[in-house]
Amino acid sequence: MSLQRRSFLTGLGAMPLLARPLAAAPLARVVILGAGFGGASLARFLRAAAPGVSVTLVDRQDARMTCPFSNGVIAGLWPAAEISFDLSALRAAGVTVITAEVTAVEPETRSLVLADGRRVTGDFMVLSPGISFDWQAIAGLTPETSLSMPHAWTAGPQTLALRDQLSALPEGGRVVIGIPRPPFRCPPGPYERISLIAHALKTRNPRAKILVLDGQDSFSKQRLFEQAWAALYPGMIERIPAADMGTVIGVDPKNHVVSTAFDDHKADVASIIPQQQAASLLREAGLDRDDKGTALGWCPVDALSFESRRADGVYILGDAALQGEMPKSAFAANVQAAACGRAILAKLGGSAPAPTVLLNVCYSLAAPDYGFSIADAYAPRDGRMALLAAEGRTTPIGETAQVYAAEAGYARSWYNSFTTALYG
Amino acid sequence: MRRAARFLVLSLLAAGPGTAQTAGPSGAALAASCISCHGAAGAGAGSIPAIAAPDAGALFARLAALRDAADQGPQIMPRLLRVYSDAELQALAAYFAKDRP
Repeated sequence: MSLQRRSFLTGLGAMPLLARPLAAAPLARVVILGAGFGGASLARFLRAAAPGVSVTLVDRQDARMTCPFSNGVIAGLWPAAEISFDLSALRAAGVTVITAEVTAVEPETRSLVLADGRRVTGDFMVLSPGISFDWQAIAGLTPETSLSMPHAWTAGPQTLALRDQLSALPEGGRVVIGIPRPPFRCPPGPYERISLIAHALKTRNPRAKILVLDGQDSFSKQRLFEQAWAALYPGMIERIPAADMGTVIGVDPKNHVVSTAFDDHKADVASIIPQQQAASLLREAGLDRDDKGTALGWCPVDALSFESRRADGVYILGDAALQGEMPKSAFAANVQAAACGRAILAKLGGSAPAPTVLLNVCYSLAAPDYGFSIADAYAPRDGRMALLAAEGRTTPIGETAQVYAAEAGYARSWYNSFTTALYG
Repeated sequence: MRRAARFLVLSLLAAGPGTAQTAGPSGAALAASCISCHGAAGAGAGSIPAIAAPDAGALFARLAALRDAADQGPQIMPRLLRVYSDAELQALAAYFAKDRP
């Protein structure tokens, strides 16, 4: 824990305003599912802004790796320790952390049901569990066979499996990356992965090739990525977009073959990222339904408070939420958590939250010293998050190496600052 | 730091029923999007510069100049600041000026 963080917490802890004597009942109990960027941010926010509110955070595991910066681990550019954290700092900040498997979410009672039968109930329940995979979309791809073609789209064992497979890539071998149809977590993430793998292979296996089988036609920061690929990795990356039958429809994990509707591709190493939807616990609870009862796959929320459209007192943050135009990113989950936390405190105080601008900045690395960003502002419009300025959202193309190097530096600075604030 | 915390909590409490429209933009609410990169105190992090400043007027002028520059350059902040009104930038400047160490 940094000195700055410690003094920040001490300073806030001394505030009597929303604090109560230890013996008194809490002003309110907030139960949070998921200690990723949405859940951890909300827990931190509430502990800092309202020490009288009790915060219980439930996650299946204490140790975690972050998805941001995991592509560099996969490419062998930095160690897994750099993206590995635990929840001890959240405990130290006064959050009650329960490490347990959650078997059901009960919106009507604002309860989480744990595997051992315990129930954790709050006056407010905030759900930030992230994504689950749609294993129906690609024939032959299952949670088990996926380990031989790791998606690594939730950081952890899959990240390390893909790293290890890539480090054993034969001389001149072929890496196949399968990208799903949108929406998915971290829209530029697959293309950063391609870039950093290319960077690693360029020196240690320069005749290797990367084949990208893409379920999308266009993609986030496309001109920036393609400019970098042409400059840094000429001839190494081939991409087949959806319009040219690039979408992966089947795999044969035993023979390491990846199939589109047009062709079968032999892979030495494959990373096949499945289609995504909100975490299954939320879908099973009906939180992904529209007002006619149709399952949407993602959970509709009011974009001002992030309260579920299906259940009062239940709030949904981050990748699982259907809020409008914000991307599924760590940065977005963090700012949504602050907006949600303010809405909860406003409700406790008997007022309505005021709409405010929320930012999203996503950096991508095309190489360790070559980065660029998309930087956007959003605000609630008619209950949805709306993008405020549609033009000129990214780092320009045709800039100098110094500009892209500076952006790579900002990326790392952001990551260090962000993860330290949450987990450090 | 302590003053920042007080400001945060006070501004959370200040918004009573019906005050949202008349109170003007909340610096604390807006700042939640800034601290992700610039740190909780706005002190900067790594190569990301500090926003915290002793004087709110000077900080507002700096933010407005970044927003209004004819040549926006390749950097991130002009892209982000272009959507903010003067009132929003003033609220942010007041927040981060109070937040100085």
